[in-house]
Amino acid sequence: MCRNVAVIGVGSSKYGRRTDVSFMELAWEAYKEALDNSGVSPGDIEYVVYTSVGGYSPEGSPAGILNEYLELNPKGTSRIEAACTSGSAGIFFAYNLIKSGYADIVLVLGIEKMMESSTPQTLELLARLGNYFWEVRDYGITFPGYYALFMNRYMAVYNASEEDFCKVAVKNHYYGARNPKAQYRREISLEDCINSRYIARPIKLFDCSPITDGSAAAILVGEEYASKYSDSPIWIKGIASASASALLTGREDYLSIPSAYEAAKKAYKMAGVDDPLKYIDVAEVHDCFTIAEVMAYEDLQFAERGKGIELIREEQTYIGGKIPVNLSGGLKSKGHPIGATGVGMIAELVKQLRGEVERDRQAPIKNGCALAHNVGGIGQYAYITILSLK
Amino acid sequence: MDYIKVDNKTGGKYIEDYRKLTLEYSISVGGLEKYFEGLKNGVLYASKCKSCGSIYYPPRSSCGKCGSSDIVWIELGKEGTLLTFTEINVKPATHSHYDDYIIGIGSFNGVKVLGLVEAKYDELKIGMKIRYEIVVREPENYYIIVFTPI
Ligand SMILES: [Zn+2]
Repeated sequence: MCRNVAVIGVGSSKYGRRTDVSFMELAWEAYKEALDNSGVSPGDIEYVVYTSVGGYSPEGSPAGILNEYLELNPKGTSRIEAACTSGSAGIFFAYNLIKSGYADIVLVLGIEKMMESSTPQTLELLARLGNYFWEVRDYGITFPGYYALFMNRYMAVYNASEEDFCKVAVKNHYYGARNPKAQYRREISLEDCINSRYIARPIKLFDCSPITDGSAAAILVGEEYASKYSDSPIWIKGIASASASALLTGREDYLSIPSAYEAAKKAYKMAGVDDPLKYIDVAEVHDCFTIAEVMAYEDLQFAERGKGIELIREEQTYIGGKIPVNLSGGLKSKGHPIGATGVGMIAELVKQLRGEVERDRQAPIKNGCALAHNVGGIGQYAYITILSLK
Repeated sequence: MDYIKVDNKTGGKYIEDYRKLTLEYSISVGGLEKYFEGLKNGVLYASKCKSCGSIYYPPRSSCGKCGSSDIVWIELGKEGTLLTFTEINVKPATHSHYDDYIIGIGSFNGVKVLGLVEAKYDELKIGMKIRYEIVVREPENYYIIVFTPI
């Protein structure tokens, strides 16, 4: 089978401190929205992929209880985990289920309810997404700590400053303030970021994405079904995954995420993109920390090595620049419910391509092409997805 | 009994879980006993594949590259270079009893090693010379690699 695969419906809960809803109700918000804007009825769905890292809330096997709550039994289901790329991995599996001909209509639902854990417990669980035995247990590294090692090295090698990185935070809050679903709907100043306290020096509080409750959903179909359900199906033109050492000490250097670079190369080839700046109208990239967004610019070939920092200095990733990035607010301001994040990126980009987001954060859609960059753990997982109107 | 609580930030209602779970594991070391014995004696070992020459740190008991299980243990030289570092200010649950600590990655004859750094943050420079020693860390009494600037 070589039929194409389209996304015909997406949904997302409001991200944030969602102590106002239960785990099931949080899932319901994204599911309901995706169902409503896809035109699919629950009976049409053939398989359900849940994406969640788990541990932050107490249910041990969320797929079963969610399938029951969403009234999707007896449809087959499972939970997919690949740290912060769980959501993209779910999209990847759904895509391939349809591509193989096994199913025509697949739901992917990502969810993480992290506020059910205390902050120290969450930091512990997040840190364990690296290599617990060799690097977490004895050295007490944290998630901000992993990326701080990259940021310090990047600053030394490429002559960047802490202030430069804060510009990423300022941009993402600027757009997050305009996204009703974002966790932090407020703009911040450069000083707010520079003066924030260290979390893992040189990473400061405002360099970090927050701890987030959230869910996101996408309904994927084979091409024969796309026009039946949707006037504006969004096609998956490229989707690729790559990996790299989960051990810090297994990396060549601390200036890039090699898995993201590899996955991007594969996805560009699959989608026939030779120059991303020429084709891609808008990108959502994995800005778990400000340094991660700068490395993404380089791994995605938006900028040469060491020049990513100039893109943000020159404000080239705002609307009107070379390539608008994270108009949702990104992980930084929209929030990062880790297992849902990858699905949330697809939900955002589908709406961007359809011209359905708030006017002051809508990218001009010229080529009808968008890119999602999702990194998991310290980059042992990476997924790149390229979406298109055509 | 007032067991439904209010999250003052959102007004959301919650029940604090009355079941507490402590996770405890006994972690197998497999064929790496020699490495952990080495720490006791102040020696840091990497493993080297006799068949293809690949060096692994952390060590492993078979070679992932060529499949050989013929391994020799090589002692890492004490002096190296600091590649990068960070100070952990907000600590994970299991490390919250320590003061802020610095961790770094050092290169010892091209072998990268993660260690705790014993120095003031502002004294550290990427590319500076460091040496490692194996130290017993309180209060758990475990062996840890500590870097100090030379
Ligand atoms: Zn070998």
